[in-house]
Amino acid sequence: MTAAARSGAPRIESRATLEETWKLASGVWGWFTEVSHLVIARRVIITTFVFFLLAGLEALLMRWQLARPSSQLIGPDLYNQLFTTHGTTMMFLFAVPVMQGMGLYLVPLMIGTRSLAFPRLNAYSYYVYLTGGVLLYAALLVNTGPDTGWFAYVPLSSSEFAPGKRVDVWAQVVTFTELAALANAVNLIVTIFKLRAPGMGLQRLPLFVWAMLVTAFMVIFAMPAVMVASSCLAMDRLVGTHFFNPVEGGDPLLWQHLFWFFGHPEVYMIFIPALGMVSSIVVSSARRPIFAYTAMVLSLIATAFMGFGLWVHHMFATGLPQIGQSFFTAASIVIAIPSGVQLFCWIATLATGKLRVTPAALFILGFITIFVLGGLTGVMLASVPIDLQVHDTYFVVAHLHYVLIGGAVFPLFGGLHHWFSKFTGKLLSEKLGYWTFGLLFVGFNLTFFPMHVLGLHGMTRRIYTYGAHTGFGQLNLVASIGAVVLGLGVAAFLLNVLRSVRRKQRAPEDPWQAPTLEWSAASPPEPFCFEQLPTVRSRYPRWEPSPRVVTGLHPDRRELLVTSVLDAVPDHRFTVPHPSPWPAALALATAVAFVGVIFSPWGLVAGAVLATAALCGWFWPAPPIKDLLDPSP
Amino acid sequence: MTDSATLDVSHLPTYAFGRRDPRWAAVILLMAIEGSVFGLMLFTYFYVRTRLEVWPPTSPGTRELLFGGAIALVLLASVVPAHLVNRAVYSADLARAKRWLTLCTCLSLLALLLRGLELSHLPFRWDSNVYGSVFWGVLCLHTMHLIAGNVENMLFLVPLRRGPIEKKHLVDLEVNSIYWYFVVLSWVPLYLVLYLDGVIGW
Repeated sequence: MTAAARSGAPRIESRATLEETWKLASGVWGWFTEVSHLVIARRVIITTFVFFLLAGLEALLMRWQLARPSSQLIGPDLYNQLFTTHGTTMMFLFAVPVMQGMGLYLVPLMIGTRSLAFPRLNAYSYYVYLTGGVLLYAALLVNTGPDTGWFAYVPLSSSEFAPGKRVDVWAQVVTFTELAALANAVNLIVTIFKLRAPGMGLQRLPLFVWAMLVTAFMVIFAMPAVMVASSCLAMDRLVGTHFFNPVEGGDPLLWQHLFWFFGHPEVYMIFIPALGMVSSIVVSSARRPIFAYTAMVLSLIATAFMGFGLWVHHMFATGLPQIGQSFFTAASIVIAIPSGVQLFCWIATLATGKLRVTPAALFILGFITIFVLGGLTGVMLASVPIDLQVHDTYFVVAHLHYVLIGGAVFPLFGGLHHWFSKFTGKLLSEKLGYWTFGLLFVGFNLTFFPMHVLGLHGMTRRIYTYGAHTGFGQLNLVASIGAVVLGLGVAAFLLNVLRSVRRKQRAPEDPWQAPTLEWSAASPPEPFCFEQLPTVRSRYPRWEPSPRVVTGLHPDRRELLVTSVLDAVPDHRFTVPHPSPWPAALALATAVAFVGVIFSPWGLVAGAVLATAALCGWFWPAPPIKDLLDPSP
Repeated sequence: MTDSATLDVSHLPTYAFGRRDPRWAAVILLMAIEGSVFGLMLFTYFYVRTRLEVWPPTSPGTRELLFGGAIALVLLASVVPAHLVNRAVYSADLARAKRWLTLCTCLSLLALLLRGLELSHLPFRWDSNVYGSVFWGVLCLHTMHLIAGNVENMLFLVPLRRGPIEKKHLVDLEVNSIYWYFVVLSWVPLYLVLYLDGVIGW
């Protein structure tokens, strides 16, 4: 409350008005109309965790099946659905949205504003994402779960080899989640570019915000590729086009190009926000400024650019020209450099600071260990001869889990421990936090390290069972035991969350003496985030506070301050909308279109008509109408 | 009324045009997304072009070339009233904005009508071969933008005729015109690729 403490007498009056203006919607109807980024982003994070748990249960089932040779627990058909749903959920319903959810919640607080630029778009995006997730699991329940792997290669996923609706469901789930991610990306970029606190030039942007900005740009340019791919696949299956049909001139490899042009950047869309979280936690754990801020920012941007030049390394086994393979090998090795730069900067920061050990800090150390191992196998896989040898084996499964769990889930858990009080107003128990870390770290390595060896010995991925003569049994059993330990780690975290939110004791605003602005807001923040908007004059505004606060915004409107892109000079005032039912209505129309089209092309038409109606409502000037231009136009 | 402890922003305007407004940035990003989609469809076009020995298997024909060209001309002509809408918006002249937006909408509806004729006269279907698929794919994608642009234009005409109009809606009108430029200008490269390659050959 440093901002609040400094203001004068009119404070009490304007505070009451602010509370009234930014009041959250209540009741069941209110659930569907709320647009506050604090509420919606928290919902996003909780929903992604529900999907995370479901995908985790699928993984446990698969590990149960693979624990011993010739197991008859799960048949091949269900197994196919399980690994496809597991991958699709983890990539599309958990990893990308949870990172965006963290950004949607924290970015406005970190840059010192009261809301996202487009709160209704944020709500719309959430409902679209939720519908996509529900569609996937509803389909799985009625034995229509997708079964062709999370990248749904043609011709396996074409109507000839995959009749029925399973692949159509997959294509539409992807379309739902991409649309949601694109909407969030636009929202985040505009918020970061236009709504920063006065004085927070780009050179003073917190590294987590930089990470979200870079990620959002990656989403903008990569997600269209998978939308094109999944739409072409859906059209091939539903209206008989021939994009991927070699008999009529199409090409199955076109699918792989389009998919991986999105799919490889997607890894970085998951990984880069995690890097931002690591930087935040490193700074507040080491209690000193980050070493080499500029190099850190440039590394994030370099990673994003290079992330677009790697997609062919997923296709080394398809017989592409050698010159192309060499280029992509080189690019895949070069991208290790910016990651390495950041790693050394974190180590330098941690080594020269006064390290405070917390569960969050431990997760960061765990991240560094696991991610380095995953990065090393990544450099190995970039080499064509090795890749050809271990393509589609458990070596790749081990690698991808090392980079994704090590590179994203560990930092995410660190971030959740770090910011939990900002989300809920309560602190997590440190003791249980250490247990969570220990179980996850041991369980993870126990599960996935043996897979390297299994892959090198020739165990292919996506097989539902194996014979005893292969000798894979022992290591698979170890991996399955590890999966149970991993599950216990997640259970410890859930227990910690449940116990903490029920605890009466409230967390202080800033338990870590951290430098960024989100710690100036209450825990959890009030709906208007800051009673008076702060100004900024350094990269670490809470370590070198600016004495000035912003005044003159109308407390009776949801008014934000727009500042210039580079230097954050105040420019004009911008009003954001109140709760509205139209985002949910538009999401419903979107669902009619996307789900309807699985059954008939007319679904698209019906959805479009409904969407037009919903858009009319959305844009219709809603009371209270202020700033009328001309009473009788 | 400023002292060292406060930064008073009450004198700042409540809306601003062009790149100063958040909505402008959002529509630029929207164009980046949809521009990427168009780009990827053209990538698909040229990718499958290398897969067929005879390209195109069936030429769209000269009449289609003329339809597409007429659409390009009508659309390009509609840029002028769209631009004049913005000129009117900058001086908050709603009557003039309404007039020019009406003209722009008429032209865009005409373009949509021509697109209907174009689609109905194509000598191949989307399921004839991969050429038909990608040709129809590009055309339908652009048609969806055309429909969306038309709906948007018409939606703006309603409040312009009936009110009420808030000051911030001026920026919405401006952004609507900018999006319309994108719908129009994206047709030019698509037209050149589809018809110059399909009818005349490179």
